[in-house]
Amino acid sequence: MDSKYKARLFRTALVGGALLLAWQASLASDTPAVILLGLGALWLLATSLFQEQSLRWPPLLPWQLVPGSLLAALLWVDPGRHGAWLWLWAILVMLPQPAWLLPVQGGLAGISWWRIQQDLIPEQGVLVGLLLGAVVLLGLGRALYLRPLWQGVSRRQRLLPGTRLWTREQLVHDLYRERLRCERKDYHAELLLLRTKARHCWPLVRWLVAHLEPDENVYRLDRCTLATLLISRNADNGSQRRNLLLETPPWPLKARAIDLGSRHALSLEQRALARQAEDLVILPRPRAVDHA
Amino acid sequence: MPSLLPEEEKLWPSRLFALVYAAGAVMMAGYALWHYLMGDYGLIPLPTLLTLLLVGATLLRLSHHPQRYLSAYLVLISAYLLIAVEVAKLEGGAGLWLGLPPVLAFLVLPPASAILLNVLLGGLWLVLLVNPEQAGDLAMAYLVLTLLGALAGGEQARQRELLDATRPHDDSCDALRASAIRECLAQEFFRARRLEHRLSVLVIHLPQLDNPGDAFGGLPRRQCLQRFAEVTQHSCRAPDQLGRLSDSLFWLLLPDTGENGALMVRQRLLDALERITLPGGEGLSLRVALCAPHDDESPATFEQRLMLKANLLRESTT
Repeated sequence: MDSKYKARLFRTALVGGALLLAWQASLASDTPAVILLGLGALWLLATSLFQEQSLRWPPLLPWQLVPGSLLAALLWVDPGRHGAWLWLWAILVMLPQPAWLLPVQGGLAGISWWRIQQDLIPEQGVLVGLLLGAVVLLGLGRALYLRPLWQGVSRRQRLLPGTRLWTREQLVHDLYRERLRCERKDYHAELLLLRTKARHCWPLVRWLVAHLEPDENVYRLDRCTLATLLISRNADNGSQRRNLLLETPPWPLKARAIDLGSRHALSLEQRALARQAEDLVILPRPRAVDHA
Repeated sequence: MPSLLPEEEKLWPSRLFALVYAAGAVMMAGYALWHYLMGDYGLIPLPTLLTLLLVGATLLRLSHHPQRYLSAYLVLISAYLLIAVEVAKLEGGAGLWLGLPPVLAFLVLPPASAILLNVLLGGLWLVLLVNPEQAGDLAMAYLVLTLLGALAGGEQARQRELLDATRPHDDSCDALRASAIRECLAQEFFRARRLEHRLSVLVIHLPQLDNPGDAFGGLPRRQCLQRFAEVTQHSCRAPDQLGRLSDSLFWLLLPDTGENGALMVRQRLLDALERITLPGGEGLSLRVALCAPHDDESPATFEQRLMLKANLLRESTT
């Protein structure tokens, strides 16, 4: 199936889930349940709306706690009416999530079971507990299957699909390649570090991608710092291009241009940029040392 | 870039599944024994049957049989029988039990089959477990559970797609995947034009990877791929990029390299790969062609020409 179509299908399902929960909320009798179901509906709706933006959030953000705590609260306030939802814990455990969250979710599931079994005869309560344990273990098994997938997403090198935006690791790799290429051929390559306010960072990425040549990539080093490798025919052409790029930046930014011929460490330069007072600092290629 | 090894990665979860199935089997056996001790001989057949089904599921799950996924259906059948026959007799708690079948389906089946099964069986569960005055409410609950379970599956599919779109490396060897190497080619092509440098591409075809099956099974195939990628990465230069276009077809992009340089890389590559011996004892056979863009060629026609070259290589082997 086409991936765009799939994404749309998922979004429709999210909106459908939000509507169903909202309907449930309108049918629920007591206020806390109405509020919880309404919050669940809002959360699903927000997830569907911010699906693209959510790619920018750090993948380790424990958003899985939101449905978990909503479910636990719902089962606590109204165990009689929403008893069937108890089994959803298995599905929540199945979601890819950081390892430390699993005991938390397990504890919440235990509390829900305790609340549910209060209304049941003891034998039935024990049976429910055993079965819940079994399905949660099955959910855990599914989560283990998907663990490599999730880890891969957390460590991905390209930050946004379809955009030339990469991670710091990729920059380190590319720096090495470009240095070698510069030494062999008479390119001029320079590492341009850009620092701006965190909220301007993502729009700046888009702007940079549009204004750089198609063979130049953008890298995101941290919340405020972006980098790019400007590859030009020679040093004059390179500084001309850099000045043109920095002439009218749409957002205020500080920049540091480092010639690839000079051996500077990336992390040191990044720190220097954070402390830098000037708008632009240029570190040219060091003069050839005269051995004579 | 370490490649994922599905066989090893998936051993543990598979054992966990088997463990849960086995625990279910033990529970059912205990239940049958309980009836026996109580003298309720009429009630023994069902738990005994379930025990057998679950033992079968456990063994199937642990086996290396290609159809071991069928164990999921055995478990579903036994759980459904248990719910339909035993649980339906219990007083009260109908709302509670209604949630189990749809969730269980999502846990052991792929999302699409689980949704289908849940929709098909929804009516049955409502009739079996629920008395009429509650039916409306619980039908809603069933619908909500099915949809929320489907959303979890959707989230997984979304992550899988995100990974495909953002990880440039191939799953089974140290090379770029097809979409990534195509993008690199476009970028290098553009840069070569912009800075007036040369670009060369080696098209590499490994005929041994073309015929799957008998002599060349899964593991040797993977080893062959990994060995090839390793040696190639080692014998080319750092700026060169290796990418895998299809099962047996690779591109090696040689930026800033003219025909002479490319021929030298090719010779070095052939020399290094000659020394590889595969598990079966035979050597790695490969065909390499050199291709460079013409002066006024567009990227699209150059890519077409590369594909044409690959087809020629493939035909020349037969």
